[in-house]
Amino acid sequence: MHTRLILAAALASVFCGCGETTSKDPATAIAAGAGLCASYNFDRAAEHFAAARMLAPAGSEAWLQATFGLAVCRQQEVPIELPRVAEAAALFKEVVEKGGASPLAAQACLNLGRIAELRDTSADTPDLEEARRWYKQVVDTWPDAAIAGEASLRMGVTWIQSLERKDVEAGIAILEARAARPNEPWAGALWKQAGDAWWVNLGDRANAVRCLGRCIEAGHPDPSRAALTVWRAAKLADESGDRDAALGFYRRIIERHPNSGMAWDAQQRMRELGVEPPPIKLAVMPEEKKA
Amino acid sequence: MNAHSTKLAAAIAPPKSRMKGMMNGWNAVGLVLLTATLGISLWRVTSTEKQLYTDDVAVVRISHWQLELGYRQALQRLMDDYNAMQDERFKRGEIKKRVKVIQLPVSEKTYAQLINTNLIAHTAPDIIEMGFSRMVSGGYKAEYFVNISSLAELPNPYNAEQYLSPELDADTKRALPVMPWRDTFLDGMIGGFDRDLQGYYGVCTTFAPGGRLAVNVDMLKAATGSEDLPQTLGQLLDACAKLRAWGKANGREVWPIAATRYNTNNWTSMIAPFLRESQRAVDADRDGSVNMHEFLTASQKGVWSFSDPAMADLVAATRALSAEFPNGFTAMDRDAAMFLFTQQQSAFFQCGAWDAGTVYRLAEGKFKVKIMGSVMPGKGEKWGPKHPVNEAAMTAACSYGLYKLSPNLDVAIDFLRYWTSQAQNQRFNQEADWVPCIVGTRLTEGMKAFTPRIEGIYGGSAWLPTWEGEAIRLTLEGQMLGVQTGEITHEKMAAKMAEAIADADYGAPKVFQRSDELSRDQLRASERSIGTQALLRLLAPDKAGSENNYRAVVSTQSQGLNGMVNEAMRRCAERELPKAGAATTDGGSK
Repeated sequence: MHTRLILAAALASVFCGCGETTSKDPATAIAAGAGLCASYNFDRAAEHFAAARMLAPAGSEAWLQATFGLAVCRQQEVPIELPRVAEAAALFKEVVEKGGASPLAAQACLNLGRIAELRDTSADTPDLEEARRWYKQVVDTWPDAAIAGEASLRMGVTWIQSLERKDVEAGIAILEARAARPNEPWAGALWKQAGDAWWVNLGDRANAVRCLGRCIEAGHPDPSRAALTVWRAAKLADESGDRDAALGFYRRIIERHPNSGMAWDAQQRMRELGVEPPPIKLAVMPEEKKA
Repeated sequence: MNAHSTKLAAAIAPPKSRMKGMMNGWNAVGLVLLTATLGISLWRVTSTEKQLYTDDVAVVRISHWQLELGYRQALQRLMDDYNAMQDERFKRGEIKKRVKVIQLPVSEKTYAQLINTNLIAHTAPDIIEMGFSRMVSGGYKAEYFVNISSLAELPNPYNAEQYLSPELDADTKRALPVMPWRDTFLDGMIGGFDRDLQGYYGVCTTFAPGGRLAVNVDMLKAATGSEDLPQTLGQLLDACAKLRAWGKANGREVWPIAATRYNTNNWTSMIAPFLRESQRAVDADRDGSVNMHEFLTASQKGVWSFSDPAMADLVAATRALSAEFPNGFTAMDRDAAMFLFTQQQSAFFQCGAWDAGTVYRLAEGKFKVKIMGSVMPGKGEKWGPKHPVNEAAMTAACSYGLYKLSPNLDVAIDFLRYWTSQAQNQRFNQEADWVPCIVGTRLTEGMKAFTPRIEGIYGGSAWLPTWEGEAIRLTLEGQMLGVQTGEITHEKMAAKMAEAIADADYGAPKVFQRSDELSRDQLRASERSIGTQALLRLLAPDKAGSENNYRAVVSTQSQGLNGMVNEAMRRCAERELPKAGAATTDGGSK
């Protein structure tokens, strides 16, 4: 009798502790959890996801969502503690096992790679082999999904970060192979990472200019920093003696990135190269917005 | 009551004569004052509560720290007009409640406490200027402030044709009503974007360029015989010399440039112009600027040092300029410098756009004021020619966030839209003598000197250790302070800096170590943002940032190479930097 009372009290306390999560509807609890995650309230969000996980039938879409949400909360709750991160990894694995081809499973795989790669605390050691396995699983299982591009980027970086020439080359090969796929949504990011590695890590100007040029064509992953990439490409092309390419990049800075702060320097260099540069017109209102 | 307790009560009760004594004289006055104070306080609290928490009126409070003359008045006029407009709407039955927008201007010194306390107590103002407090950034921002990203994609209703300034050109008149709110900002609303949270959390209301000089034209003319403003550093120093001579001849003590302790870092704006050639050689990763790793690696390798002729020029120019400042300027605040200027003891006042309104108002009827841009050594002048840093990449300022728990969030949003509409933003900034930040807005004649300068070199060149290298930075700042007051020579300063960079406890090796640790911490922090966005994209797409923003943050984080990017950069610098002496191509003035 005592045991039953204690059990009832414990269950009641769980639900009382959840406060607003007494909802019988997993969808409502998941929505509440997601809303709290948006404001970085991971501890409170975890309560909602935990409640939804109990309410939803195991393996159902709602259960996968709740499990995934709970895992994210455990991984991101501050202060970061390794046992909590281990709990997150176990939950992500459940999503991978029961999620089949669901996008949640793909993201869970990627997140497992992130957990393996990151140094969560000073006592943590990155496991790059393990990270690569998870990233590869994403690329192999969802080859045509956008997330495969992100996983390829992550996988390439696991090699480049060793800073050893052979590894850096292996990483660049992964990045370039994925970036070259037609209509790859992550192409800009992949070419940028490859171009930077060619220059910063390997000191190879020609390959850096080639990849950075492809990045600019594909669309820079961070438009607010695009001018810095174009500048790097311009300087490297200039130093390699590729005058035409350099002039093209300098012109692009003036015409496409007049607000970057680098346009005047680009004008100066064009003059030094014997070409009259276009004028700087600050992008007060881009032409397309006038239409 | 028994006999014992009666005795006890009698023993502890003050005698009647003592009671009477206590109520006499000052004690009585004190009691009356105390009661009156309590009464007034209660009345104030009750009346404020009535004003703020009435059911009949939607009250929206705006907190800010802009106490410069003109700002509050211009904002008040804007609010009055808005309140009147809403009154009309209420009378027409278009809105259910009357609306009242009020401002809470607070000094910079107490602003953070006000915001922190009220955010925690859930009583924060509805619209909050974002700054000073740590609780307006990071996770707190996500918790307490509204992500306005989806609103930013919608047109601003106060940019509808009937609200626009009549003098606008046809193209702009056609474009503004349909442009997303975000695109109506001249900086694309970047000033309100939070990269980590991947969303817009602030609405900027102005541009705030600094680095200008307000000029007392009457004084300048009296001393130099001309109203022409100096165009170069040489001309400025020449005018200063003439001002001193004029002051002496007229028995007046003149400090040509009214500067404050804020101007002790003036020299940092000279770094990029003076060290431009060195920068080209030290910029190993070719990103257009010199980061801390390149700077320290170059110093360690002897490629560049503080003894370089270009640095000697920078030090000499800094000293020459600060010699025109008042004695003790390193301890003076802005008000003291403003006082010197308005009392006509100084002909120049180092100012930013935020000071202009105050300067114009205080000088009105006393002397003529013009604003001039910062100056650099000209062609043929000592240390010249040097180009200033351009301001093309300037982002808007005075960002206001929306408090999530505001009971009148809809009105707060509406007012921010009103404030940042083309016509009202122009009017507000013109009245306050600030710089408007919306497409189609115009500056007043007096503020044209604050138009962002598009000509000039890229200012990305830092050359300064960031906070991981705080000890080196503090040494540098201390030395430069000594240089400015004439207490330290360039040679001594250069020797001290070489010593600081080589120091085993806080020099370059330690900075590299701390920087690597910081890089790993930042990488983990950005993982929180990425993980959250990934979750929101799957579970609550309406709350997620855009795909492009997600890719931008992931790409930026990937470039951190899992905490190894600094080491990669140092190896790049080791590989690319020339042999000792090769980078010192600036030449100097010797």
